[in-house]
Amino acid sequence: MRRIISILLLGIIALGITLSLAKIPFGTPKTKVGRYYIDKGVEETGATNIVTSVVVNYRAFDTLGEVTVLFIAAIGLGAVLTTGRRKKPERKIEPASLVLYTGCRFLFPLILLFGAYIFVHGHLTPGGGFQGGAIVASAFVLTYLGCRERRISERGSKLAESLGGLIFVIVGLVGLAVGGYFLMNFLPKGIPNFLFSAGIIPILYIVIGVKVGSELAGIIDNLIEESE
Amino acid sequence: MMGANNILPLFVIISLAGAFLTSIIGKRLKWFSDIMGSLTTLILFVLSLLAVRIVNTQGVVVYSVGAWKPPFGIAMVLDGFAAFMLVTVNLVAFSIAVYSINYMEKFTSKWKFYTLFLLMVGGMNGVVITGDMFNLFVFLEIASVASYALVAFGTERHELEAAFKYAVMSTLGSLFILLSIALLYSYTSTLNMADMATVLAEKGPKNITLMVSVLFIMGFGLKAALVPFHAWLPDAHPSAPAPISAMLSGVLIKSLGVYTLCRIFYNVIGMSPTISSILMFLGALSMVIGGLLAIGQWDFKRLLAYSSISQIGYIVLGIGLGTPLGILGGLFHLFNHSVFKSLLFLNSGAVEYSTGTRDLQQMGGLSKKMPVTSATNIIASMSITGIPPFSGFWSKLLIIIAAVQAGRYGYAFLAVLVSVLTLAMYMKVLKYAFFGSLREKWSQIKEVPFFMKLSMGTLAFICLVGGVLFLRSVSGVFLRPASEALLEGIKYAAIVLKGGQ
Repeated sequence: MRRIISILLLGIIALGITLSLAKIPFGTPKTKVGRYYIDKGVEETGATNIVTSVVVNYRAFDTLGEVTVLFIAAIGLGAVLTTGRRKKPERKIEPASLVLYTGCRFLFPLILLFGAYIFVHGHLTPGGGFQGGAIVASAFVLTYLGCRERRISERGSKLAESLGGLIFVIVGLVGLAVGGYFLMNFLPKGIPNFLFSAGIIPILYIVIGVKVGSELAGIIDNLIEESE
Repeated sequence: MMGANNILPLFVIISLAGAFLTSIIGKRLKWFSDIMGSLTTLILFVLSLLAVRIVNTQGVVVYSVGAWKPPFGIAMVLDGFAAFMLVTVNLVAFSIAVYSINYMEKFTSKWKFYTLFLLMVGGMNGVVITGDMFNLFVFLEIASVASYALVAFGTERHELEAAFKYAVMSTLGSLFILLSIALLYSYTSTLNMADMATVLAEKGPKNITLMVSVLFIMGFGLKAALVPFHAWLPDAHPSAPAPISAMLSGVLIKSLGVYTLCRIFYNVIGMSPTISSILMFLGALSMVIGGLLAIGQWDFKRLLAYSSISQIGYIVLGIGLGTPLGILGGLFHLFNHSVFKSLLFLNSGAVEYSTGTRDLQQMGGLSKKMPVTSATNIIASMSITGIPPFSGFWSKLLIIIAAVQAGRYGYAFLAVLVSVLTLAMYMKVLKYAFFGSLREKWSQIKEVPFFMKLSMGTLAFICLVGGVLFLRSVSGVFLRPASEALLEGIKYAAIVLKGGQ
């Protein structure tokens, strides 16, 4: 009975979505806001990656919100998982195999470098702070697999998270002081396609990259600690 | 362009900056997080009073974040309704921050609490002040995710269970909201609320408007805990630490649920008689069912949580009526309920702080030992049940008169009936918790510390004088601009777009 009702409800929702989307012309040049970003994006923001120009410039305020959500997730998880029952794991950790151990030590700096490259070049090439941050975090995951006795410094990662958020807000406030608008792009836009271009976009993306990387690594660290 | 409109982003900036600072410094310096919590919310409260003044002198103020003109960038809009909600949210947040100074002593990581608390306040302020559909969703998520963590803050078994249930249900609500925002964006190809309203009005009602309305009612109904969508609230609200229960019942369900419902249906999609009757029906249903379920509860906080569902019903009924008086009454009740329901939850927290129990059958005669708590509780109870000089009476009266004027005699009758139910349940609280003879085991308990008393006293004072808002001169600057903002309907678009130039 339950199953029938669920299928029926799903059917109703599917029908509703189909009917509402039936007559919408997707991908036509008429879409107002989207077309504007494509036409004016490079000229107005200096970023050749249009996605970046939307995410970190036109709608940078949303992005501030997104990184805050991630920050809350990290700090909330920390509060829920570790409060009051922090036990030192007694048992010996089994060392990883030689291949994994060597591989992780060899790859760790390279992955970090690649992650940093992705978020530093966020305004030029595909990718950006979130993607770069995820890559940085994957380097830490590899370390947890290969070099099992290593731990990231919790203080360091927490500091990076909070400072990251604070710098984002401060960059926005400088825009308010200089240009009169919060999160205004107050730096010169430079020549598109150069590393030093697009004003505040690279700064914000570096901050986001560091913040996302340390938050994801911190979340993984919290979860590992709890399962031990 | 420097001037009064720069106040708009501050509501979000200050709370976020406060939270980040607390998380850096509060871990090392214990007193720092207390100071930051109270100071930040105090500044926000003062700013919100300033916002009311700005709305009265300059009308609607629009702010373009990053200097991108709407609809290409994100706009923030301060109108009467937003200013009204800002005052409500930040007033309650401030008194709760003061209360937490003493109450949260028994929890280990206070700085985490204050960080999450400030982020939640920032999220609510963001929802209220934004003029952009997707930005609204982002702040909605900030406030919701922070509240999931705060409900689980005690990390006991039932708290984690309640938080999990809450997180699942509320995420489902967010999903509906995100889906309907996506549908609206694909239809109107804009995210600015004012621009969206214009496009929707040009294109006329279609299938998609209906679908989106249904999804919004489900999504925001879940956030507001209207009756068919209420199941998470009676678990989540009692499980949180008392200050957070007060915050959730007092302002979170209103700013994420009721405010957004009103804003979108009145100002963006446009109110239709069908939606109006759906809202009234849901309101009346919540009112009755919440009231009936509350009366049988023996857990102090659970009773209050069910009563919140019932009172949200009053608010939605008033606003759903759609008449000027109904909206005025609904908003008036929203403000009043924020104050007295937070106070009641703080009272329950005070009782738990001193005795360690939430079971009404275990209490009794506490008024002898806890004079301040019981006095403020009596005031709040009188207020919520609608005894004449207190604030709750006036707002309920307005809603009932508005229902009668609109010819909805059935709803008016139900409102009176539930009022009697409310009286019964709060008499039960007073009888079992505060009056009667003191039990032997409570002979050693003490009244709560200073900051908790201060906070409860302040809120009780507002309950006492809340009726002042009924006076024409006071409601003229505070309540009436809020209800007028809703009554403008989709003319909102023209006003905002003009202000943005």
